[in-house]
Amino acid sequence: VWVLILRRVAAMAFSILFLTALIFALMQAVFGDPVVIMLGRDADADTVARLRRDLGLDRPVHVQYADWLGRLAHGDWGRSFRTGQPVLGAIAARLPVSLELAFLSLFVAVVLALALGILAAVRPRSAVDAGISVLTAFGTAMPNFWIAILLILLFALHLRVLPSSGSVPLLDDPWGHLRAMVLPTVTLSIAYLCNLARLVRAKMLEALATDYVRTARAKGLRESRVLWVHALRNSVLPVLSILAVSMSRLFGGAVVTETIFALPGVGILLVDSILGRDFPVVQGIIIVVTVGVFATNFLIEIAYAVVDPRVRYQ
Amino acid sequence: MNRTRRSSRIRAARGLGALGLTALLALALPAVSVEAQTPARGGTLRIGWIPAAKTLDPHYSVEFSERYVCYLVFNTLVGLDRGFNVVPELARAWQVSQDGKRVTFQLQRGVKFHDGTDFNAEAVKWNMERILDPQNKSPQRAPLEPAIAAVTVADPHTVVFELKKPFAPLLAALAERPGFIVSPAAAKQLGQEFGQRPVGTGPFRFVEWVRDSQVTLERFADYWEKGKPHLDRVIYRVVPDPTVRLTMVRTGEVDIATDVDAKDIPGLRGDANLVVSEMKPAARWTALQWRVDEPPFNNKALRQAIALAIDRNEIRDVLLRGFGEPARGPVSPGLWWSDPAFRGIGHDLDAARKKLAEAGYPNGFRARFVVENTPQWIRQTELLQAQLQKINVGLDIEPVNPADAYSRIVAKKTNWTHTRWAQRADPNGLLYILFHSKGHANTTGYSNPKVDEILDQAAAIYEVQRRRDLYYTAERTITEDVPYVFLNYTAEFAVMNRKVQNWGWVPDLIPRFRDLWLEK
Repeated sequence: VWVLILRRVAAMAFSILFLTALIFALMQAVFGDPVVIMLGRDADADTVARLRRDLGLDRPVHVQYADWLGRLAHGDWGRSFRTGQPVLGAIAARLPVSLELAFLSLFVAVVLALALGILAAVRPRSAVDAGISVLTAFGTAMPNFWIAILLILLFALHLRVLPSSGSVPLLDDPWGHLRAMVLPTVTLSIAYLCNLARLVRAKMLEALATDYVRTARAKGLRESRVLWVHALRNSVLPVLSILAVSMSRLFGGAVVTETIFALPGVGILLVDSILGRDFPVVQGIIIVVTVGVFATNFLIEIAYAVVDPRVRYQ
Repeated sequence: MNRTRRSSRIRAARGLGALGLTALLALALPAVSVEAQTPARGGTLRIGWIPAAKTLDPHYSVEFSERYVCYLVFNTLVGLDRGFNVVPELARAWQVSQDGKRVTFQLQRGVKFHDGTDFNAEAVKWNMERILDPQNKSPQRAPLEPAIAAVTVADPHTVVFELKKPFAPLLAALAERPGFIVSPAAAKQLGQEFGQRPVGTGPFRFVEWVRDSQVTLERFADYWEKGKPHLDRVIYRVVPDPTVRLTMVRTGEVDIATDVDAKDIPGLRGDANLVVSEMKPAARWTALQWRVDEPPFNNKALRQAIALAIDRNEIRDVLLRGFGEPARGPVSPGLWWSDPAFRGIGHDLDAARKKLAEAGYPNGFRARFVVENTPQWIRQTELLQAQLQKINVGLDIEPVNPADAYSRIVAKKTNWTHTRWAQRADPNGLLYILFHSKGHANTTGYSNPKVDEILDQAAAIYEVQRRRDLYYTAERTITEDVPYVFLNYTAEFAVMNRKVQNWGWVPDLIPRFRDLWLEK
């Protein structure tokens, strides 16, 4: 296991180096001048030049990158160009919102996907199965910003049961907080939910047709035990691998969801920082997200081993 | 991305023409009738706010949305009324010396900052020096630096601005970002953090800023304008998506939404719970710009041909849903420096074809046109493409990221593109920075010694009548030289809940809220 961890950490470090170097390289080739963006249309040329010098943006890109890397090695993540806030602090303040949204969505997606997938698989080609298939195809095909707008129009404007957007601190108002998280969670989970449900259905159908399920039934086991223990445990493996792959996609979806529902998470910060060419913050987020995705994937690999005794790591 | 600036009460009082006065009255009338009711105290006003705020320190503010908050937390040295005239604020009166090189301000007494420290002449001096010190890299330095030689304290309630030259636009500048007075004690103590926890003398005290979520302000009990403000709290809720912003006004989750697209207005007018307010006179104009010092647009006849080929009425009817007005030049009608007799270039396809031939392109030509990649600008560009096709001018549309659009113009990577500016309270505000050869936002390479001379001359004159005649000439000359093709004076809308009372626009498009109240 230690070798595995070391190998993962090395791969992660390499990814971070590669990604951050890429961003630095792109920054002067493609992106606009951050100083002009920061000072706007009313600043004089002298002030622009002075700020550029102070931020070290007048130096060659590789020098800037080496300097940034050197500071990072000493634990200094730098300060945001735009707000002057320490990068790590700015990210840490946003992280809880994004994590909560991600975990709630993941939870909802997995639970509902299993339920729908099993339900459809138990009665293949029935009306229930057809209904679930149509719904999940629809959910997979719809872009989530569109789903979000539809949900807002329905639940906030017509039914007036949920707030349109915004967030309420958990400690101030737990109920309000939960209400505010419902629509974003549903929005973010729908695509995964539908994808997963279709996968669970297919895998369950496969498992239910296998010899070991027939054997289990022949032994006279209760149908519920056959379903939950024998069939499900075997169909859940591919679900785990899909989960691992979708972690990064989940983050992508979170960016859109946070923007529409005005949740102050890392997603909005990333979009803003990219638009404002706030490189220290962009780099910081890339590191945090990369570490996060690697860590979850690692946990899922472990879960894989737990679920499937045949999987062993050397 | 739009900036604004202001003008002077003294000048206004001395020589505001019949035209300006009419505009002022037209603006003031609805406000007066509403103010006849007794304002109710209390309540929380919630505003659907556009994100993008980076700092609430006005001396570093660049984003338009930041000023929504700054105008509540801070006062400016002088203020602006709804007719764009400079009026007393922290300075209750001022005098300009005979030679125009010294302005003496008498300050309000008994004004406190929210941290309990006193506002006085020392504070004004400290604020001006903070902006002027090049080490501080304030984007607000540009309008002040060419004018101010020194700021001196005559007594605790009198401050004197010594000028390098007579400079009439100074007062208007002091009603805008360069004129915001921050608490010196708090700014010194908080350093870089001041932008996150602003302290001023304004009607509302800063409480909390949850980034990308909301800003909360509460009534400042010791506010110096007695009886104001009427509201207890003001909450700016960040709502990035325009559709969601409108939904929230309709559901009552917020009371006001600004920056509403014209296409949504007909739908909103049908809602009995909502009031739609349109800004008049038009506060912004749209235009096309190009580099007049580089081929192909260093050819005046070519620029004129294109200006003549554009049908501004069609743009208004199709894209602005009939709101707004075709633009004649860079001065919106209703402002005191707007020439009512001026007609602009107009729309004439035959004349355009003649000019095009005169320019050396009898068979037309193609050029690259850079457009900010947003639905609104793309739609406008497609319409322009169709209009210019009629004189055989082809546009190759190149979309760019909106955030990069301006820096690409500054870096001269963009030759031909669209732009948009907001009016400021002094004519010098826009005309100098865009059209003077030394203007810091002159990104077209435009240089006409006659225009430079007129603008320099006009800025040194305090008398409105004489200044106005000079700006009339400047506008005509600029429009004829076509560094910009002026398209439309655009309409701006705010949508609000019916219980919001005494809403009023200042033509810089920033609501002030100190006179606003909520019906119970």
